[in-house]
Amino acid sequence: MDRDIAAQSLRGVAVARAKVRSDLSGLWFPLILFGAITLGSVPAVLLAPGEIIGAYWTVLGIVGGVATGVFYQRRERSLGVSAVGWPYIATALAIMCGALLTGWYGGLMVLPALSFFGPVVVVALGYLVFAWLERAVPLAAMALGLLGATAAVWLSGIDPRSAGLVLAVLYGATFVVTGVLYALARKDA
Amino acid sequence: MTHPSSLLDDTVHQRVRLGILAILGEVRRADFSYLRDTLELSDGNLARHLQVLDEAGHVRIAKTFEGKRPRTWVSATPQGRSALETEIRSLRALISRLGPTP
Repeated sequence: MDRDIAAQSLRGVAVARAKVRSDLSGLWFPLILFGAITLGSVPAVLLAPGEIIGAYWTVLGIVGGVATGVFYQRRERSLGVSAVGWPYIATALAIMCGALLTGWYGGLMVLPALSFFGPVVVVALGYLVFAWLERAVPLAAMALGLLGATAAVWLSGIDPRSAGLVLAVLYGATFVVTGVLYALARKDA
Repeated sequence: MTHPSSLLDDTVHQRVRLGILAILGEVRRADFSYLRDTLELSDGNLARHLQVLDEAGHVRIAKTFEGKRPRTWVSATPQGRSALETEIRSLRALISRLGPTP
């Protein structure tokens, strides 16, 4: 067999895979949704951090997860192609449980740094996993940027409650902006 | 040592069938129209290639109804996924063995 034919076959496989991934990608929806939910948590952090925030994320995390599931299911049905869903569901559950557990444990052990920084680090790491699943470099850059910003806020020495507020605004706004950029890129394609 | 080209499976190696498996390898399932439109094939051409892959055990074909509308879903079997990976490995091995194009 000719080398060029073999290379052409491999290129064909890569192109087909990229096309499917691009068709399946609907990152804009969960990013905008969870960005809005994160920004919506700011008043809860301001008013009653410990008491309300856990309940807020338990309820709206589940609502957001179900809405995202329904969005992808409807989309896949109209496109005629379904992704392998379990890695996404497992990652979403791990983010939810990890964020709630670090927040709860930090509160229980009176470790404010853990309860404010733990959940956001779990969320950023979760988005790195989503980026790997989607082979989405911009999403990986977003997650790494958020991790870097979290480290910077931590090292700045501001009190954990103010840091929690800054990070909620930063994460929420970043998710919304990244989601809008994904939506615009999709529209242009 | 076995030459990499001897590992190429004719059922999988054919251009259209390799494209079908490449798509199905990335997803849980795809419907007939998606495969046809993505690979730019006619209905008859796609059906013939799917039949070859089905007979070789590389894909599973399920006909369903959504409301009154029939829909044909195609998914790769574990054997099909493994055959695709073997094909890709063999092609890479072949390319590295033959070296850069002069």
